[in-house]
Amino acid sequence: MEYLINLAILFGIYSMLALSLNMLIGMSGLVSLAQAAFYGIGAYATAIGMTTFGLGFFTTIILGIVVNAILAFVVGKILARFQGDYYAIVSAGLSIIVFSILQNWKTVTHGPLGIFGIGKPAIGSYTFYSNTAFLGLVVIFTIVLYALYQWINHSSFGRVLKALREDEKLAQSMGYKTKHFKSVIFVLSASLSGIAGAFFASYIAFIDPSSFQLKEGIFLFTIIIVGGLSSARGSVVGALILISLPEVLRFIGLPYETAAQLQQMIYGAMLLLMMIFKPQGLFGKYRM
Amino acid sequence: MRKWLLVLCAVLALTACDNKKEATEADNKPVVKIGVMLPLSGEMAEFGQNSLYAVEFAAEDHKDSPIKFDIIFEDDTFTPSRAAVIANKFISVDKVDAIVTSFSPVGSAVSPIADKAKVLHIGLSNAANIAEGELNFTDWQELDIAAKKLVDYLVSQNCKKVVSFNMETVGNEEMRVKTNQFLDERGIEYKEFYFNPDNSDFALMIQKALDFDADYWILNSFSPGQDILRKKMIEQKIDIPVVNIQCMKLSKNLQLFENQAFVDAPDGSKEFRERMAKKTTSKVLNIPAYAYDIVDLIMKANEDFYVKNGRVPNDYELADTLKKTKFYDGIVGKLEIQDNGVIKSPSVIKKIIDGNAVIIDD
Repeated sequence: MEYLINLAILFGIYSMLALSLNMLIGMSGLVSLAQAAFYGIGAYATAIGMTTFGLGFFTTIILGIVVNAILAFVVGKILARFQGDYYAIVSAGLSIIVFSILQNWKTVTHGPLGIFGIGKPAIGSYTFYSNTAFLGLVVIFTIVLYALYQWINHSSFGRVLKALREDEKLAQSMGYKTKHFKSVIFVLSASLSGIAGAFFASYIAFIDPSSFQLKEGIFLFTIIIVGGLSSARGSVVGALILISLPEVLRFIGLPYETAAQLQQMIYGAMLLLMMIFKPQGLFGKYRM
Repeated sequence: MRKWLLVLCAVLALTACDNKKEATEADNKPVVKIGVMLPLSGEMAEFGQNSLYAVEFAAEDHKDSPIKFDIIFEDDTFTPSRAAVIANKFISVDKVDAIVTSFSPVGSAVSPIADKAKVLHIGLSNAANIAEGELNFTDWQELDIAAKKLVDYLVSQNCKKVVSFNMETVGNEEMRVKTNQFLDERGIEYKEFYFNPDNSDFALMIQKALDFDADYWILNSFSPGQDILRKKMIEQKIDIPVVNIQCMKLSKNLQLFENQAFVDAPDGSKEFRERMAKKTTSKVLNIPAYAYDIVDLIMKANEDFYVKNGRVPNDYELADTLKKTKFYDGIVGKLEIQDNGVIKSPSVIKKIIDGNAVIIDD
């Protein structure tokens, strides 16, 4: 049971990440690979805030959101000049820069050695020490993010984003300042991914830069592609599949000497088949 | 679609419950389960796969034991988050008696989980934080010992002056500090240079280093830094010998370092190397050798306790038995098990001969 609870915690964290990324890619069509960077900044804000400054978990969540928002605002201004593939490449560059900073700013991040002993969330005298309680908190935040996603999706702001996604020039001709909208959704998406980072840091109790590399950004991108773009349900289901599938494969009784390689092959083949038969993802409302 | 998702959830739930067995008597022997997580896929798979063979050897060597050792392997993909999930699987599904991890990020993620669940954990790593808690241990080449070994080697070669080229990473910084401490102690003069492989002016740095007229150059850098420096030395026909700690063996171009020495963790006994040669062509054998020793150590501690008490130990008793062992003759040499959970192990000097790292000082 404890194993399933832990898996559910990880699933919740990745659902939050997928929801925040789908806001950007699914709603506005801006393909960003920088999500792992903001996820990492959120995680480090919690790790440093709790271990160095003795801040509470929820304070560090706000700290992570603020830091991410400021960075995303600055970077978003630059990114807003780009479209399509160029947007993705520049965002990948941001991910690499943030990783390098986490790796080399030793006095603050402890570099490759990482940060240990990150505490659990607490409200008053109650600490979310048990995994079940921690899962409850993760579920609450995931539901809040899910609701926020749906609210934005159905708002006038969300409709402008979709217009921007379908035809940016047409949206501009209607009088919308598309750079402004791109910048706002980028800031929002980055800020929310910081929440997932905070939960990840507290859950694992140890973080190092290796968890926030570009490949993590690609993994998050895969989650929303499998689940379906522009779909809150797709984000959650995508996270469920990509987090739980490797675990299911542990139990299918493969010979242990080759199990790891076979598991990877089966995992890859299943994703391949899914993309062949469901190219828009399981619940996708938009296809790139 | 809903059906499909339900099936996925059901399979996950059923499979998770499937292995829920308590340690049972098999062939009238008590069963001890050891969960071993290794990077069996991904960038570190070579080390993981070879360590798997080494753990299999350890299990083979204990097949006549009064205890049945059940080894459960899992692939951690060298990812801390995945390692955390596996640790929980080991603890709550497989009900293991001990967990073995390799490399610092994975060990660091598992250490608090093992501590909370009160399960013995040994991490193949030199990150001391992993050993925090009563049941956590770490085992790898101690940097203090490695740095001392390097300086002892320099002294044995009548070295009076060295230049050290230091790449700006945390790992290299720690090596630099430790090495300087021993250089000071032994009265060896040194001059330091710092560089970043991407943007440093190597030509100018080398020219300044030559002015110091050192007997040895310490290339305290992983590749590509050490490779660039070495190529520049060869181009300029500089025949000053180079040394370092651990980095040299990780160069993709060992020929560049022909006949140069470095400090490393031992590769295990001759017999172990021969056994491994039947399984793999890999030349990096020290990580598997440590994996062998860790598992062997856990098995021997279990056996010792069983012989004395007629039952297998719980995790606290196992940890206590390990700590009381103090010294253990492993295949990498004599290991010292300290009360703080850090297992100190030896270092050796290796030399690159015909493109291979060969131990010249056991």
